[in-house]
Amino acid sequence: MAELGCLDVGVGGPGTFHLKQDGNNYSLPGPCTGTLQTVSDSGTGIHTASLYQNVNIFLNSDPTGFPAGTTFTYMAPYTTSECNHPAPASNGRVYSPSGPLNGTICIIASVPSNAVPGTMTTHFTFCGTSTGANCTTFDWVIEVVAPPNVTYAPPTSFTSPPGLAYWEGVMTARPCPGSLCGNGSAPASSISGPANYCDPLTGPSPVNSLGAATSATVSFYGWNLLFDNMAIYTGNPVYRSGCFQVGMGHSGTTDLQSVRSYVINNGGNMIGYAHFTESLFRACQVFNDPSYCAAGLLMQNNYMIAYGPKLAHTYLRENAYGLDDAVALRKYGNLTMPHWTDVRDGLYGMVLRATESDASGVRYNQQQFQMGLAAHALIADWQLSSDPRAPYAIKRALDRVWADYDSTNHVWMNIEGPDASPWCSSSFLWFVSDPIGNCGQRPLAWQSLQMMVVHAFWWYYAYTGDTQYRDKGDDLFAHAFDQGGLTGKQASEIYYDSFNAVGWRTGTLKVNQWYGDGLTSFAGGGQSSASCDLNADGHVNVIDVQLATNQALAISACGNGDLNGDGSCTVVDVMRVVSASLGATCNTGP
Amino acid sequence: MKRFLQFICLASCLSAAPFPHVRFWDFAGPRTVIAGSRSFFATTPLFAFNFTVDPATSIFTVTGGTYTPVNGAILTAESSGTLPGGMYTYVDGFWPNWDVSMLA
Repeated sequence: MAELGCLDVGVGGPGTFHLKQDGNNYSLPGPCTGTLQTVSDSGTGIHTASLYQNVNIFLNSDPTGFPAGTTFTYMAPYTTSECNHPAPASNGRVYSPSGPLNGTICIIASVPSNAVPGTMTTHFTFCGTSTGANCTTFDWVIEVVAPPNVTYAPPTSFTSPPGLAYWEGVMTARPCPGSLCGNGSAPASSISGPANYCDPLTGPSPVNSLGAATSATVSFYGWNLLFDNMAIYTGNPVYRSGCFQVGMGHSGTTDLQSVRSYVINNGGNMIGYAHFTESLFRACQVFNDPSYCAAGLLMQNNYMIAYGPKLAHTYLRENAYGLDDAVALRKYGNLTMPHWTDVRDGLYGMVLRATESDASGVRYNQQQFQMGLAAHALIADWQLSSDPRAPYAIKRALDRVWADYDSTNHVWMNIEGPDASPWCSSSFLWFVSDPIGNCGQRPLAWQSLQMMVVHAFWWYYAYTGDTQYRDKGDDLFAHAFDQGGLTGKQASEIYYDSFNAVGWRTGTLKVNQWYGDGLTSFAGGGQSSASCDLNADGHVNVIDVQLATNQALAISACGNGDLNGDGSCTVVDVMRVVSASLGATCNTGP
Repeated sequence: MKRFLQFICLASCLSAAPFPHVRFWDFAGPRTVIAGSRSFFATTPLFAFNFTVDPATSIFTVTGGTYTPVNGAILTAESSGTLPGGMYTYVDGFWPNWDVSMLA
């Protein structure tokens, strides 16, 4: 049998074909390249082939089995997002057109608020043609729950968590500049922390020492912002001028921390863990430099918030950052992103899915630190939206984290296990046994990472007054330093969210307050994130009045309805929203 | 590109449906559906067919359906038993795939 170009020439017939493959590199072979697949035997059983591209699959009808009154919308993918724009239809059947995510379709179910809770089996029927032929139905069991209504009952008094002084000491210690040093039983002053990688007195010299917490060209988490938070916390402005400013604004060619340049050079569309919106707007404010605001606004092009949610479970972190971007753009940039609510609702689903098994016993495993990142975003979003799902979903995430926590050795399980269990997957694969074999392990080296969820425990405590969550967070917090010195990355992990965490734990921040907002004045100019647009939809109207009223009546927790910042929601705040809804300027001052 | 290859088949996708049919690769979305809220789901249904292969010629034949092979179509393979010798399925975290190369 000979080959001629793309076509084989030889004996064949209807329904016959050869296969080609580009070696074993798992890349898609081209039709005119690759090697002929030969087989040594026929195999056993039934062999099935599935086609990846150029075949449209049609949803035969609205899914069935959902509560009465459920409505559906359908979206099609674009670039990284599965839910970007309305899906096309043919013969009344929606489908996903060809493209990078060919065949993927996004189905959005809006369940009425009065739906009766219970277990239901839903049915999704897809067909190979637009006329309803070659169809298969996929069943998905759902648990319908009533709209959450977690009672807002904040503590009436607060204490300090064990280990707070140690956390403060490590923050500013500089025992071995630029290097990892110290052990867990040593004084905090001998443990390398964030300041160890940035000299607050003489400036970061060399500048590259700021690159201690990077992957490729991007810094992790809040690496730069944490220095500004340190300046606020300690009252020492050199952390701002000597570390934060250099990290954000340096333009040297070898410095990996040139955040402003990096964002501008990439038009704001960067890799998934680029996470700079809040820090850019902070820099804009504290340095009174609009170029940072311009860069911050460019973050609207960051792919998750620009294109909409990506629901594959491996993108929890990216969706969380997308929601963070949306919140920061709204809060600091007065920009409402079109996909904001899509990313929010998608993220809620991902967090819930990570805490529950499906009907076949499979749970979407998530690395627990990413659950902390998701909680970070949901809390930030709640502060603008008052979404009642936030405390409910965060509690579920926290309970999942705690279920695997070793409270004897004080170390968490970042990746659920055991190996080969339905909950163990690699960071890329769904319910396939992790080839690395680290599922279900609790390496002590991961203790620093567990700090990334402490803020959520303490926010939930500050919301509900439930001391169980205070005490669980205390345990995680107090042992995050057990292994001693921190690399730059570990320092970034620990101090990314712990300023918020400590604030909520000690009562210096209310649940509707974010560290840094309104606290930046020592370097010039205060800031308030308060707005009369309580649901952050870009309009101040009767909906916002209702939200403010609910908060004043304690029907919902007092959050962003506290416009005058006096710590309570009253008729004074409601009247300000009423006035703004009638066209007056929103009064957010005391 | 690797991401594209990382679809993992639901256990239910190997159900005994007639072929050709649609099968589902990955199904994202929550089990818990909160009343009064939107729940997002996403799935990638794929067109599937059964096949046999003649080891003497390595010619594959569609069985049990009417699918007409298209030159250049990309597919991946699984088996309820053992794939033909030389073919493989999930390896080292990735699903291999092939191009259809049609016979004239």
